[in-house]
Amino acid sequence: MKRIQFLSLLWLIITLSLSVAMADMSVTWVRTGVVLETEHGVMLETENKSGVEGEINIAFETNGAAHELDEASAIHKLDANRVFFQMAWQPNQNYQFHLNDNETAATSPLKPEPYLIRTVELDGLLSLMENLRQPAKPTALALGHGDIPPLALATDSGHLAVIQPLTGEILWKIRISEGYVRRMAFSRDNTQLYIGEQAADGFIYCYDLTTDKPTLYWKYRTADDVDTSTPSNPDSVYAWVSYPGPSCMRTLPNGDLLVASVHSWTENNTPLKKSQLYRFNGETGDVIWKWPREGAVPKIIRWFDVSADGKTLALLTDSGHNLQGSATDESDAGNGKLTVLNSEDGTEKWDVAIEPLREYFTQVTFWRGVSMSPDGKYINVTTDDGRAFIFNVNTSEPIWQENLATPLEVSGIPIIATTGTIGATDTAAFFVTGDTYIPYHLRKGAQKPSAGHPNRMTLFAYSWHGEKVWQWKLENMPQGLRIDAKDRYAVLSVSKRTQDPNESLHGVSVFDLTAEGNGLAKYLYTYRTEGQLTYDTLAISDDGALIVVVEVPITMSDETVRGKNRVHVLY
Amino acid sequence: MLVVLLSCASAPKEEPISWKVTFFSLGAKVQFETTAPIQRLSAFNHDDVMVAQLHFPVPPRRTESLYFQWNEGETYRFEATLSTGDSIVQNVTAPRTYTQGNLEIALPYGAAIESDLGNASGNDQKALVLHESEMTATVLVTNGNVPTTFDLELCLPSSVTAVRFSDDWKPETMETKTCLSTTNRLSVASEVWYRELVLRTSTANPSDRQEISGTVRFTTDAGQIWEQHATVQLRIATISDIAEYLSIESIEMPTDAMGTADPKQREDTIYYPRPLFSWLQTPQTNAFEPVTYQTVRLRNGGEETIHVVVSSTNTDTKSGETISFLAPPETANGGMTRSVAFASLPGGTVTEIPLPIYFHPVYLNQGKIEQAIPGEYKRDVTVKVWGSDATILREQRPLHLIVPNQQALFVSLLAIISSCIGLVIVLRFHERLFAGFTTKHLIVIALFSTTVFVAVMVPSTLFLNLVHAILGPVSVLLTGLINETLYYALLTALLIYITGDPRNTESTNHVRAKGSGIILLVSAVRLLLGGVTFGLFTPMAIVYTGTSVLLLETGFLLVRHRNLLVWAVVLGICDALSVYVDFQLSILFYRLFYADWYIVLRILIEGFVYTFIGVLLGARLGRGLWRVAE
Repeated sequence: MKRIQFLSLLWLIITLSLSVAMADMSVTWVRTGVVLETEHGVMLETENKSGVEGEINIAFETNGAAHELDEASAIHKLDANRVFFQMAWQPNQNYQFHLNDNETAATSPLKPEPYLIRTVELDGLLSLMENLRQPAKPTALALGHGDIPPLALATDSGHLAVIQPLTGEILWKIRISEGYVRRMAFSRDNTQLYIGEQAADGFIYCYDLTTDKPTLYWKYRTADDVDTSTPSNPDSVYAWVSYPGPSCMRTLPNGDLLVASVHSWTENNTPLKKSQLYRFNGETGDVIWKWPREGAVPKIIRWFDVSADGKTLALLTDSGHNLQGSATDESDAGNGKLTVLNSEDGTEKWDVAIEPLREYFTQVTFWRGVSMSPDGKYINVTTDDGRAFIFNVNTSEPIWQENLATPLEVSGIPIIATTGTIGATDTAAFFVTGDTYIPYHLRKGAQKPSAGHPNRMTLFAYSWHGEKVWQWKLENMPQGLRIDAKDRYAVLSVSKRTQDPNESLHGVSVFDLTAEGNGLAKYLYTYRTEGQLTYDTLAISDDGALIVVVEVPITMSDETVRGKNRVHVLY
Repeated sequence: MLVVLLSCASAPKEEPISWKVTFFSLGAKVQFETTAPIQRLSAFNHDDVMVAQLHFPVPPRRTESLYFQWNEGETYRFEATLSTGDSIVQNVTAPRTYTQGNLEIALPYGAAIESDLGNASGNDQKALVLHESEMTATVLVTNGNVPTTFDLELCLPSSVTAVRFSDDWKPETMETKTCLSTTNRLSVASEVWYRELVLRTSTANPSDRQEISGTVRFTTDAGQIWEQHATVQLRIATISDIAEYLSIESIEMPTDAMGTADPKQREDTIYYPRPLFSWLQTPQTNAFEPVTYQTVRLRNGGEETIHVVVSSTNTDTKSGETISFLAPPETANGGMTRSVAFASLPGGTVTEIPLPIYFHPVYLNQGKIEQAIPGEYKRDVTVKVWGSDATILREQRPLHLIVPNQQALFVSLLAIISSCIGLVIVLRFHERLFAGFTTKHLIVIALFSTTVFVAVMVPSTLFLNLVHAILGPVSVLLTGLINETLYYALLTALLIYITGDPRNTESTNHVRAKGSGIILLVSAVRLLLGGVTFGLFTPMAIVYTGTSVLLLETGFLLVRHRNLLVWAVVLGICDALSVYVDFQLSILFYRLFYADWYIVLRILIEGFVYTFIGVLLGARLGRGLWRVAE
């Protein structure tokens, strides 16, 4: 009997040790490497009690040939069970991975997969009282620079948090005011965070991130230049629109900060607009230059882009469209304008007026309609009426122009697609068209002919000489385009506020811009979310490894709520 | 064992998931017949290498696309992982020959069936075209996966003429048809080339085949050739043919975006809460948010589905010009001044089409800021067959743009101020007022007041709603007999009893030096009894009573020495004014709206005529009482 007990115990010990040694380890093939995941997290923890990531022992073999770990390869421990191993894997190859005492074999797929590192619930960033009052609505996000960039998230009630995206740890938290955080940007060394509020004062804040407690370095009141105002209904959820705030914010390689501050409001039934572009010294907050020098321009600076070296800047201005009716008899009042500046001293290189598409519109307006190639040689522009332009940075004559989504008229009804999303690399100009926006208000279940613009919801890539290089049909409305600093990956969020489950596709599509071939070759995957994705709440790290997107809940027709106010951090 | 058997028997049967995989140029489309609890969908090639994968955080849509480059004739394994962890697998072989690219002849635009999904070599659609009218057709050529040069030929029957087309088409007329051809290049995969053609129909030769056919031949740089065909069968109908079975059932306004009407809202009306004084700013509105909707109900009595475009323009009633401040925002509507909606009307159904109505209190007119002008406008609702410029149905409806009633405000303010002043005077001089009456007079006034309450107020309050429900707006003709004629008869009798008969010189000698206050006391008792008994002690009732007392006392003061006919006329005018004030108070405080005829009816008949009659009738009673008292 004792012998049986001893043999049973021996068998148990052998089985346990074998099962631990051959523990299940799954491999997820992501764009910049692999994620190894074990069910027995203890293995990783035992080997990494010190918490030093480099102590994880990973090796891999391809088709029998062993590979040493490249010193430059990063290994990130995501949690007790998961580790990310940076490597350039080849499709359709057999790999064998050794993680400490675990090993597994896997064949790489033809294309990488999306991988969710974690989600961060936005409600957790607020105080209990704030949560009880109303759920946190995300308004802005910014991703820092470097290997593991910090992530800044802000809500409409002025709450702001900086988190470590891989672990979800809150590094820093502050509430700036009751204001609406509109834009944020990190300094290149991640030691400072610049925040632009849309509030009565329109402050630009600079906080020191190196201290334990938030320390304000400097702040600048933009309302001194673009004026302040009181909304006619301060309790309205849209009251913030009437306040001054930054429309665009960028940091430059030397640490300086560029901000376009815009104020659009109504006074005595008169619509007023004021905009001013600033270059601040990032350390001190001193204004290096303002554009225009003589004071705020009575237009809206919609957007700007700057070359990678920070020497050339292109910006768009228009008269806004907050009043109905014919703008004016003056010939140029409805024009939009592209202005190119020397961003070192704020002097104008040239500007060009873009006239309205008069058959359908009395004025030109823009959304995020300007982008510049990182080398600063070319500029691409789109107008809200569906036209696309390419300019050489040295000349004001467009070198290419195309009616991408201009009206297609049927039965006297112009069918137009939105064209405000845009991007650029050194080799290509990207234009993204949205959905057709003729209003459809049909009762649920009613049918309608499919009257979308033929070029709607498409990502177009053109060479800087105007040749179409590739295109890709999107599965839903574009909500923002981001391209990494290496011009390798483009990420595009697609979403639409709809109660129809068959139109409810919310997600982030990722493209490898270096892949040879057509749009299908460049398309990698679409990571889907439950809830809706709003415009401009998408970011990609400089090296293209990390993608961050903010999800908000959406109520379906049967009153069920899909999604949450949360952030998805992805490989 | 029993438990196991029972649990097996009680386990709900799961419906098998039915899904179909079809290859298309960019991968495979997976169609689910029902909502499937699928978490992941993966595709593997014959080497078992994963070629595409989709994760679903929510149940997948009816059709999902897996994007990958597939090889002709290769078998792929599609694996669907359910939320339970189970997997279902399908092996599907890709087509051995696949004709890339697509041709679409859209007549009207948007109504064509894309041929690429099933990669059918030909696609047939039917189109309803109007006789002797212009239709817009759109030809769309979609590229496959590689750059190609395409030759397109489009042939029209003799009954159809291309009246407008771009220069890159070459027309060629043959015996019974006209063919248009063009050549172009599609430089990237999935590129779409499109052109619009304006076609005009004429009388058809019955022997001719009424169809538009198109053929596109794609040639790749490597010399590979694909061909795609499309055909549109034409059914030519006249406007009157279509109008026979297409009709506008109703046009309701205001409704919500889903077409549901609110009966509490005034019909055909937009309320513009304009500030009363110009120095108060007009509240800001969202120009892109419709202020309300109108819902057009269209009946298609035919059998075929008709694609229509329904539009509505808000115009000036006299000049017919479009009203800028009632037009959709330009930037959101391509510069159109109309609200439009497209709809496919299935045969034998009524389709509701809500159209947004926009309102801009402040707008630009030639660069100058203007304020919207309240008034009467009209909504011009038209229905066209989608793709055609000919209007099939047209109806006009009024559109009232109303603002807060300034007249009501001023009249009500005047009434409130006058009532307050009157109340202060009464409170200040109440001792002198009562001193003017003997105890007998006061008892008689109280008696008459109670009689008025019992004979007028009680039946009026109890049965007013019932009479309103039965007779509607004309109920005032009946209720007025009690409220006005009986009331003024009693009041006049009391006035004559106390102040004497104006015709009788003997009696006038008995007229008290200060005969004022009788109407005040009667009204006060009536108000108090009504307030205590029926809870009618409201601010509006107080203001109305105060105004009425002031008018009647003033009128009586002026005519008390005159004959009864003058009494009747003056008291009639005073009561008509009281009714007018009552209307203004209701308009201001309750935001009620009345038809003009109703206001005139009540002021003239109830206010004046019934009072006039009541005074004359009361005079007889008053004289009799006076004689008895003497």
